[in-house]
Formats: sequence, structure tokens, C-alpha cells
Amino acid sequence: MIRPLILASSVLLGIGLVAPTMTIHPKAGDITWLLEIIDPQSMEIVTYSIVGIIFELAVMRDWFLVVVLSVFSVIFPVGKLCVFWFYSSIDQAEPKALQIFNLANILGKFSMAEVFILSLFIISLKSLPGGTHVQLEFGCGIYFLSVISSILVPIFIKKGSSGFVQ
Amino acid sequence: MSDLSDFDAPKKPWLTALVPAMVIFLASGAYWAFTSGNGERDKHDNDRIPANSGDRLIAGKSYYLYTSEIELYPNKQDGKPWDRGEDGPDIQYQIKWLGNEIFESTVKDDSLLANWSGLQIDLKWSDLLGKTLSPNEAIQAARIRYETKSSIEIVIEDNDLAKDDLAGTIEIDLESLRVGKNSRAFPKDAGNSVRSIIINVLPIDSSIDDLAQFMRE
Repeated sequence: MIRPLILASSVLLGIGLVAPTMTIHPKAGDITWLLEIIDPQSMEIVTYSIVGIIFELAVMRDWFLVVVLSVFSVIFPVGKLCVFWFYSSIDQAEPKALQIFNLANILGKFSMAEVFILSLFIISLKSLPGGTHVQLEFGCGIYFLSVISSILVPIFIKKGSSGFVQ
Repeated sequence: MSDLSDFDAPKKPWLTALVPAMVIFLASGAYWAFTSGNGERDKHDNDRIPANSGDRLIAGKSYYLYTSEIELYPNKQDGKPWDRGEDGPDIQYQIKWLGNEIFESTVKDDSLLANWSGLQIDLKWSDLLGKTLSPNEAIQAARIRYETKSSIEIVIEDNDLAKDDLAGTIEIDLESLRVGKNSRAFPKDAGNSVRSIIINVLPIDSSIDDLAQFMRE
């Protein structure tokens, strides 16, 4: 049960990272039409994936956000699944199994995927200045399912190893 | 026996941890490969062409009409220079329809070849205190309604402080105009020193996107 769940979570994470996550509909209040004329590129409706957002930030040379988003929304969630997989592939009676499980939990705490999803929801609900609004796309839902399934993995691990001592 | 079990054991067991990473990578790649034909960004109909370019005008329908380019001959009708010294003419035009002046352009100083955009916004400092701008205010064009056998008159002048010099009066039969750009060239004679003119006609009910795209050109 654990391994198929990790694989399912991995597939969902893989798709969720590159599928459209959100669409930004830029508006500038009463002068939206004017900006559409003066600067049509900045008023284009744009759809981003999570990887797309990271690339866009890299193009803008916003390296701090590139690192934060890459580490907490990509590297840690991927790392967490890798560690869970490794844990499931070793003898859980081994002493190092506990260390690996703890490592997975630590990675889970540093994985900000849940926070990322929550912030996307908040942004989509809140109207931004000038009437700009963010519309969540199906990639956000897939990423959310990946987050949920990765949360379920340690629960199943704990259930599976009833004799497990922390 | 112990040697045999060591041999059978995987040398780098942690490599199995990369399975989810591989799956993630493959899922991403498969999704990307499956959808890459649709383009990286959804352009949301940005490649639209301004509607109806080249169409005849429809009787009873209203149109924006403005001149995007006027070229004058280097001298006035009588061969004299436009302004004192070497300054070029300060070109301005008016559009008359049914005997009424319905539009006056801004003045383009010192130019033989003057260009106007159909879009122009004159902002004052006081406007920064919350003026609402409508597209109608920004469109710098005459508004006419097309009727068969009707015409407009474009009066082109060299705008001077003392007395404006008439460069030419051009009468255009509206039936000869098409939606979009209409170029006309004229010979120089005793009453005309306008070399060429480009008249733009756009339906008033065009979307702001179409108008903006056309007028920006």
C-alpha cells in the first residue's frame, strides 16, 4: 500500500509541477483599456505552472524567491518521497530505519508545499489592486492531491509498523 | 557464507531512493511532451487581425475617420517657402462633414511629413487626482455616419501665428473609402501643395482591442 501511494504521489507531483497552476488576469482599474494599448504585453493573460513561475522568477533575476520556491516546493517534496521510498525498501527493524523515518518527517516539516497551496488559494480568493485576479488551474489541484497523498504515506507507515518504537 | 551475502547485497542501496525522483521526472516529461504542441503560454487570441479591413462602408453605419499621415510639397502653391527662414510648415488638418467642422488635429511643428495616431491622451497634473479616462476621450478621430453620395472635406493648413497658409482642401467621396487605410496622392497645382494623405476609417462599434491594434500601426 505504501509504495503504490508513494508512486501515485510522485506521478501527481511530476504532473503538478509542470501543469498549469494559475492564470493571472491583469487589470488596471478604469485605465485597463489604456494599458492594453500602451503596454499590451504586461496586460496579457498569463498561465503559469510551478516550474514556470520559478523560471519566470529566474528570468527576473529574483534569486531569493527562485531558491525559496525551488527548495520548499520542489526539492523538499521530492526528497521526502525519496526518503519514504528508501525507508519502505529497507528492513524496518534495522536501527537506521528510525533515522530515515525521522529524516522523512523533518523533510516533511520543511516541505512548504501545503503552505504554497494555501497561499495560492488565498491569492485566488482575494482580488488584487486594479481588479487583477488569479484563477487556479487544474495543475494546482493535481499538486494538492500529491501533497495529500504524501501526507498519507507516514500515516500508513505508522499503521503498518505497529511495533515501531519512536 | 558471509562473503556470498555481501556479494548479493546491493552496493548502493540508497540508489533505490531515486525511484520516486525518476517517476516525478518521467511524469513531468510525459506531461510536457503530451501538451507541448499547445505552446508554452496560452496567448488568449492575441493574434487577432483587426476586423473587416478592406471592406466597403455600410450605409447608415458610423465610423471613426482620421488622417494618419500627410505629406506636403517642399514649397507652397506659389513656390514660396512655408515659413520664414528654413523652418518647415506646422501641419494641422480639419475634417468637415455636411458643412460642419467636426474634427481638428493637433499641430505637427516643422514637418513636411506629419503623422498622427488615432489615440492620444492629454494628461494634466490635475488629472492625477483621480480623473477617469474613457476610450472615447482617447480616440482622436472624426465621427461620421456613412450615407451614399456623401463626402467629407479635409482642410490642411500650415498653422502660423499670424495667418494660416492653406496647403490644400481635399474632398473625399465616402463611397471611395474602405475600412482601414486609404492612401491618396495629389499633384501640385495652384490650389494644392499636399503630396499625399493616408485616411483611416474604422467602424465605431469595433472592439477597443481592434481599434488599438489598428491605430498603433
